[in-house]
Amino acid sequence: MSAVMLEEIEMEGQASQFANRKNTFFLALRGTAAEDSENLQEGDVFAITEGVDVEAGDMVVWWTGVARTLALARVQEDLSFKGVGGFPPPSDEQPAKVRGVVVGRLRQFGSNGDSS
Amino acid sequence: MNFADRTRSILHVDLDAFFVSVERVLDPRLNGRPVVVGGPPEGRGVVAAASYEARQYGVHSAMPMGQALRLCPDLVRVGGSHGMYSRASKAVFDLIGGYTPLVEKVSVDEAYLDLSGTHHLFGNALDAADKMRREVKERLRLDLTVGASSNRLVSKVASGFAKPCGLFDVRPGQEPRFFSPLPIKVMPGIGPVTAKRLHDFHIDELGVLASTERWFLEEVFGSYGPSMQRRAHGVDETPVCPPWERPERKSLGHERTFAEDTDDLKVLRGRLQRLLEQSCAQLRSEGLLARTLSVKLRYADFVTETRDLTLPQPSDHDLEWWEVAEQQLERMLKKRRTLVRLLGVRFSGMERGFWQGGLFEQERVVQRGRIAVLDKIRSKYGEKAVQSGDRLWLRNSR
Repeated sequence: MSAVMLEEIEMEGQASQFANRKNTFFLALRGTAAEDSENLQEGDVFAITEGVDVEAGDMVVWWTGVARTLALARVQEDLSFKGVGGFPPPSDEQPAKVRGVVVGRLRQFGSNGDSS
Repeated sequence: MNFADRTRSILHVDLDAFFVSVERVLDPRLNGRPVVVGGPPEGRGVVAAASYEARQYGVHSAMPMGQALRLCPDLVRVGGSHGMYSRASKAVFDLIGGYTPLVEKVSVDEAYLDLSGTHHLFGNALDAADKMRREVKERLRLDLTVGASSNRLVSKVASGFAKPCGLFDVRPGQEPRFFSPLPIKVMPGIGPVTAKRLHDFHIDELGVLASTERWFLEEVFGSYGPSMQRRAHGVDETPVCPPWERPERKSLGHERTFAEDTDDLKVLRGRLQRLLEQSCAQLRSEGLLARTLSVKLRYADFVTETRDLTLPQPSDHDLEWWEVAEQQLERMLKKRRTLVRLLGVRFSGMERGFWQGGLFEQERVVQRGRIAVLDKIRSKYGEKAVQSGDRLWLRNSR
């Protein structure tokens, strides 16, 4: 079971049109995510819009401060952040510095029907 | 600005390269090869569906078959079986109907589903869509692409992003952010003419359209301007309409272009009869009666002529329409004396209801019984299972 991480990728086809601005991009999930209500799977691709304007219920990506690493978190009702899929939650030592908001999630499947 | 109704959960499902996929289930030797479904090039055939392998050569739907074969010499052409596609489509939608009764089928391979309130049964929309996609793949060996969001418009665009064989879920409340960087042409309802006009005003992205002054859009596009702007925010309140909630149809019809232009009355009569049979069967299946029939002829010189006929009582009975339609066809042909390229029929003046025979209309009642039997045979064995004598002339005319 490999550690979960996010990697910036370029998309092809119609989806690439989302990332035609400097402030929109895609992140792919690498490694095995912990099970939770978000049900993240390896290979899931997140469409992100840069910005710090967040609301309760949003999923965000934030800088962990360690070697330009990004993590996913969900914004709670009290606007605190909760880690999802095995990503650590922000802490006093590692406060959340939001990079962007998750707009959507793409999951593609191989011809055998499995997630690819 | 965020108008999204976060409580709705709408899916747009689309069967990938549907006709080709069905052919591949029937003949796995087609897997991995560039395949098209459509008529032969010598008969003015066009591409009805193309596999992703064929699309890499620039082949696409509605392209003349001759052109497709020139672009991709290794192209495998399959004639297609619409009866088989209808049965495969029904099997898919029967399965999908197990997830929600609110299914609006928009074509043989595309539908909208409202999954709002089904969270406790199937999990969130993404999980439900995932289960549905796997079930379709396992049971029918067909690939489903799914777009999910809080409304139809955004889900339709999202499914375009997920092709082929994927799933794109736009998070609730993120619809405006999702739409903002997209080129305006991705939004359903914006055609090339509107896109060109918007481009002339440097409006090339949905985000720019969403933030343009409303009065300006109203000035340039009339009432369509503000509606277009609202949609550019990712807002669409259109409900998913299952068949029993669908608004009444205003018209219904079919038309056919001949393989070769013709003035052969037997061929034209045969085609007219077939078009009437198809259209009347559709009227009956939808529980509709029509008062007016339009017969359309397009001649070899591309001049198009349409004549309307009205019966005293609305009808869904092809034999009742046949007599007047046949007379009208002959009148039109005598008047112009030019080869015919296309023949079409269209019913309008619709009323909901089923034909009810009168007390002294025994012969018509018997005829109705025959038609009901024919409808059953055709729905089970295909449209060509039972044909009238006149239609046999068409065999040599395609």
